[in-house]
Amino acid sequence: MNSVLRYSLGRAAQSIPLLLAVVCAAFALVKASPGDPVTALAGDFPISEEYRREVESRYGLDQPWPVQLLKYLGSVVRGDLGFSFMNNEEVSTLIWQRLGPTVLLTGGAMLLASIGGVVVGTLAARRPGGVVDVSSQLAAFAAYAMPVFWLGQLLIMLFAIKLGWLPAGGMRSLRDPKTGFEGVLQVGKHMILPAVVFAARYFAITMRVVRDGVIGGMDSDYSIAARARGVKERRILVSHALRNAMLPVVTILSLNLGFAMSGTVLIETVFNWPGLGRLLFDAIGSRDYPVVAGVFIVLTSAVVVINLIADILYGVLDPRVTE
Amino acid sequence: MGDSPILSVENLAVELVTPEGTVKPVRDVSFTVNRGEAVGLVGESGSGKSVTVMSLLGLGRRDLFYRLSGKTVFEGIDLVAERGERLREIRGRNIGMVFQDPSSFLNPVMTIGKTVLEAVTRGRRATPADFEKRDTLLRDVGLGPDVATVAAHYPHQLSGGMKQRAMIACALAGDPELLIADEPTTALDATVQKQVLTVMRKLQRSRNMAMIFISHDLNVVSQICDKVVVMYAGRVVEKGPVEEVLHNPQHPYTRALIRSSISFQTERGAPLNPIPGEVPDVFSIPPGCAFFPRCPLGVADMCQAKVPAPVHVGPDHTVACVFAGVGGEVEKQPVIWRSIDAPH
Amino acid sequence: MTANRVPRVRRAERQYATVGAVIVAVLLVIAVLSPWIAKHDPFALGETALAGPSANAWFGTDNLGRDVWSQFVYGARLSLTVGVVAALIGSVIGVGVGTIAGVRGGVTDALLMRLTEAVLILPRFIVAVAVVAFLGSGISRIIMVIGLMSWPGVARIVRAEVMKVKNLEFVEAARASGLGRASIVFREILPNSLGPAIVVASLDIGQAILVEAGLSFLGLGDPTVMSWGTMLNNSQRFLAQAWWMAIFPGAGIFLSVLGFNMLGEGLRASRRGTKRARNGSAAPDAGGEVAA
Repeated sequence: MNSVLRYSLGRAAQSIPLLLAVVCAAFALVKASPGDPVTALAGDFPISEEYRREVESRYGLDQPWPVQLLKYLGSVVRGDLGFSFMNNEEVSTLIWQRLGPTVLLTGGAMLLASIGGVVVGTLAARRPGGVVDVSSQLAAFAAYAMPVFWLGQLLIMLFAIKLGWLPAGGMRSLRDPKTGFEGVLQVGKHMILPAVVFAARYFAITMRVVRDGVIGGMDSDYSIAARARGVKERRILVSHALRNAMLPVVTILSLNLGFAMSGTVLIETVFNWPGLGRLLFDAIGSRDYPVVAGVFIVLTSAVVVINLIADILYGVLDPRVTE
Repeated sequence: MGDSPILSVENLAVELVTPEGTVKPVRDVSFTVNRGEAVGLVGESGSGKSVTVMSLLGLGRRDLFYRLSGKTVFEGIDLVAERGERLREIRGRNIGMVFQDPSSFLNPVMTIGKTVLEAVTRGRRATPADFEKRDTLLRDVGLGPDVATVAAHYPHQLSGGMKQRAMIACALAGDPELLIADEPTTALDATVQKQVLTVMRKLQRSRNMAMIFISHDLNVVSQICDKVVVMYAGRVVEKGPVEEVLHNPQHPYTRALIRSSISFQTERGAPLNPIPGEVPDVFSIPPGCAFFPRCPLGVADMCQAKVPAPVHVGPDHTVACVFAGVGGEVEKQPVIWRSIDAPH
Repeated sequence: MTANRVPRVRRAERQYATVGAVIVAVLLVIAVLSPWIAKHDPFALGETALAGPSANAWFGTDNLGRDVWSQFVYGARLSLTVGVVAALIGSVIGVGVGTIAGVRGGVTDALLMRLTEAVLILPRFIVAVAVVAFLGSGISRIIMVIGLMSWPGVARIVRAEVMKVKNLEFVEAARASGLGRASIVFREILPNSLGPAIVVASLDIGQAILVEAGLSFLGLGDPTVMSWGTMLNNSQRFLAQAWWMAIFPGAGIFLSVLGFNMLGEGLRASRRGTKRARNGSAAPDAGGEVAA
């Protein structure tokens, strides 16, 4: 286990400069935005002289920019992402409130995509060139090229508007919000369309990786050796080929999670889902720059951290990597 | 070592349908393996040795279409005609196989212990008896006495020799009557080669197993095998008792192989004698005797007209050459084979 | 023993390139000829709002009476321009970085690769959103941002190819005949390394189109140009009444990306030939990162 720990710490150390760079980038963007720096920090919002002075002191605008940068880094590390004058709330509080729905939706979608991808990919690999394989590859192709927001609109038009089976947006019904078990069901119902749309692309990627991995595994030398020992095909498929194919799946899953942070903005906007993505969209529209910067930092950092976890996980699963 | 054949290969041919066309890597192979006997299968790469033994067990790539013809009778069962379950039962239980490169033929994410256990149980639930058997096997191949530690290791943590021993343990898990070894020591260092070969020979003798030993190293074959079968371009060109064939080779190819073999006692400065030319590409095999283009004796009319039929030149010694037993260069080979048991 | 199904799959893979090429060609024609094919100015307000497809307005009109067909045509022009130019920028930088890293090796290589990995990890779309939100949404800025985020993919591939080619015989021969380093790179190494890079570049075009469309959908697009993404943004409120406002631009995005992806995949398949890795590879898939 020692080598795994060493490997993990090494990777973690590598991620730190990247995280710092992200925060610095946010700082640079805010600084570089055209117009009055106070407006950039307070949002496009009419403020009184008193607020203006408070903003100036809070962010140290009178001091040279390296000092400001350090101050900013310091506050971010402490969890202070600024203040949203528009919402009259700490940015970090706003983000915290919206975190739940985003995690719920993203987690559900990734789960769907991963399980579906592994199952269909394995089925496709059992008979390369067969019906399941060819049709799933075509579907994957389409899913990969599909703009996620358009797919959302299509499904809304079909299932919500035309058929009326599923709600068109939001997380709960505004007119009749329920709690308890019924509340969970209600959220679930609202989650179906966005989760499916969200999962489509990652399902495609996972399926492809699993399929290729399993086919490779079935044809590999160690599978031939296992066959020579009289092991059943099915067991070779699962215990040998799939086992080896799962290694890249874990990495892919983690990478997908990282890229899903991008998709979350679009999905939540289309489906009016009250998460971080929607928060970002609203903040952009109302020019609430502190929130935009804060969400940017949180989302991008999440991607970096998830990638780190993916690498560590890979090191744990593949005994060769940590040597 | 009785005279009861355990495996009898008769006119085996293997046709492969690939996206690039149809090829026949094995065109006509016949030989027998008696109980407890070690048969060496030699030839350069591309001669069809591996495909021959792989098709015995019905192994091959999943994306290619194999067509077998001929007969391979193993203990009364025709392997060519069998499919599926019957074949799978024979694999691992009656016939065990050791492959060339243990690095790629062992699953990298499974510990040695798990892999050998799988060979013992063949996929069903493991009982304490299975674990015992696994440990015994590991000890038999020389991976003891601390089998528990070895079993906990992954393939990449072990040396080449240890990995190959583990593979041998897997092959022996079903107490097979026939062991097939496809160039088991080619990927190993010289010193390690000797160790692994010693283990194999010891186990073969103690279990009275028949063995098919594929190699291009005649030195090793001369030490381990009782009989030798020389293959070229998918056909058998010479076969017979190992002493006979190696000291009185009749086929020009066999002679060339022997000459080009590096004996450990060649004098310093003695030139290596590679065989001129190359093994024919499997898509374009010359008509008649496939060795003709490289043969010092060849005569076009006789050799290219048709494939030479095997001719007896001694007890159990057959040659597929029109010049067999007829004048020509009959060289008594003075080469001294260095024993694999001797200190290096 | 086993059925021979692989040739069927491979034949299908080669057809991808042809179909993809056809789609891309059609789009190129539309994009180039847009001023002549469009019937109206895409921004011109019309009289009949929210009218369905008709002989007069092939794709219908939007909520401001603007002709959706004209919007579509100009949107095609924008998407293709953004896609190609951004991917081009990314490819040029990528080829540069990859070549330098591959040829130099050592510390330079290690540093450049670290940098490449870092940029690869970053979520392309979110960074683009942040940059455009803070710095403004001119179309050239959008193209720049996308281009600057797409070089790592090409860089990695080029570096791998350069390293493969670096030590081959004809390069040794060139070196032996006294050619200067730079000319060896340009004459011998580069031409042989570019094959896979082109595949990645065509996939990058698709990604670039998606990112731009996403930005416009969020309202971050350049308001002076007509974009498919902006059209979709506009359509969001009228999904129930005017399906044509969403269907056509969305289909446009979908088909463009699909076309370029198929082209890329087809090229990759025809280059790969019949080689297949013997052992199941445990390394993660290198190609095809996702934008949004």
